[in-house]
Amino acid sequence: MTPIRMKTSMGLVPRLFYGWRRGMKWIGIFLAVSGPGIIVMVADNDAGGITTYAATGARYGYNLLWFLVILGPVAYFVQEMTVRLGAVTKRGHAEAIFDAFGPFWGWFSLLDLILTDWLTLITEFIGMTAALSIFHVPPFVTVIVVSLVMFFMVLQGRYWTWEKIAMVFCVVNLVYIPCAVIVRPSVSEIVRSGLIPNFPGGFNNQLFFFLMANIGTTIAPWMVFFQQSAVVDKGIKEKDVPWSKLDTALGSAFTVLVAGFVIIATATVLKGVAVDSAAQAALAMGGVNRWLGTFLAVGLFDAGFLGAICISLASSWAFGEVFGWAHSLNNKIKEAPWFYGMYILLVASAGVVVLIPNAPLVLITLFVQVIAVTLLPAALVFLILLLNDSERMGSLKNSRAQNIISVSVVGIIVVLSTLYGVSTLFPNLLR
Amino acid sequence: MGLFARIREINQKFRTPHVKMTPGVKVALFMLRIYLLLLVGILFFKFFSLVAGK
Repeated sequence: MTPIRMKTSMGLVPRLFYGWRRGMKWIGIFLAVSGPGIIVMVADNDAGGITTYAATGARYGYNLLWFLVILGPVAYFVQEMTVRLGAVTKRGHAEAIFDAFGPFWGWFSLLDLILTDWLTLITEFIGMTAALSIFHVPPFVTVIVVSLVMFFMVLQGRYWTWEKIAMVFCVVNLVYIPCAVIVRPSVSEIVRSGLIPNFPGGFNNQLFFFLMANIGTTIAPWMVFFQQSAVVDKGIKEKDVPWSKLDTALGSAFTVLVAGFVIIATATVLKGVAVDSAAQAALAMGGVNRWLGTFLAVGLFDAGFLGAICISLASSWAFGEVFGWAHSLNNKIKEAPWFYGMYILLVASAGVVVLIPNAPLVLITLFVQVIAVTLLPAALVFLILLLNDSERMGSLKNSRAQNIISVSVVGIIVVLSTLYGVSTLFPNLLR
Repeated sequence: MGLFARIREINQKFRTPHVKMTPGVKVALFMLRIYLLLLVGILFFKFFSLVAGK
């Protein structure tokens, strides 16, 4: 009897049994492969991101929820390219740029990444200290405790452990869901005004600025570098790429969900209020309901922490790749002293800046957006060019359809993020 | 090994770009250079405007 005939002649119970076993096997493989995609996408909702969503909800109510739904697939299309590139080349993005385009573009990308990451790391510390100050925790205590936790997360010597701890913080990000439930939003209103594309008040300069800000928080240069390095450090193989894509797709859905709930919560309670920071939104919402303010503050701290652990790793990985240092989280500190030294230096220096009295923190926050704009187009253009290198990528190179989508997505991101950066420098240009 | 010696070694290692320089790649890299020059120009303009107190 051939295997096919055996299968067709199986009874219902054996078929269900084999189906269940196959399903469990798939779930097992997915759980083993998943991580980088979900973590990078959730960490994308960092302290700056939560502030942008809170401000968007307070200014435009539910009206821009549809835009977030569009941004989910956009983030997915960019990030899934890093999965394929990392799995095939076994190189992080920084090293891949050096190798493919030479030292000029390599150094430009690496130094710009370090500067962008360091400044962004400062903004994450600003978010975390602001969030915990709502619970009367002094900033220096926040900085010291957070830095120590971040050190212990990497110094335990296993990528797997780091990833699982990071996943726990990803789950904490779901705190925004009860936040939105507590305020009892009108579901019909959300569907009617939020999910149908519309431009509240017409397509004016201020709306354009908010749309750009939302794009700016959804696609960041560090994400490209982080996920590719994480894929390499985790040892994702070419055969795992479909599962890693699923990981990334779930992550992008997760990030849109969380961002959507932040907007719903702030839109319901703070509509019409000018929101400058997520901490300010948490304080204002705490006045309405104690738990609401608490959840929002916990979420802001978690967002800042997730952003901080990923951004600092992205930089250390990039430096390790280029300088040829041992640069895996699976290395002990004695085996990779430069890699961990770089990590500790970045975290400690960013934390210290936040504690400097009268440090120009607002200026730093604005400067991050401008510097990121100089790196983002380069990182994305290199990504597409590398994905079209048929000699290296083989069957996983970009198809024609993928190129049409990715070039369109990258083109739009480059134009809008550039306008966002320029409008940050010249605020009256677009308002 | 000193830092500068290491940097020289890295420059030497990656001296030859390995991507195939098709016309599309050349155009993309050229556009990127123009874009970055423009952006740096805007940054300098902003900086000097601030310094001049405009």
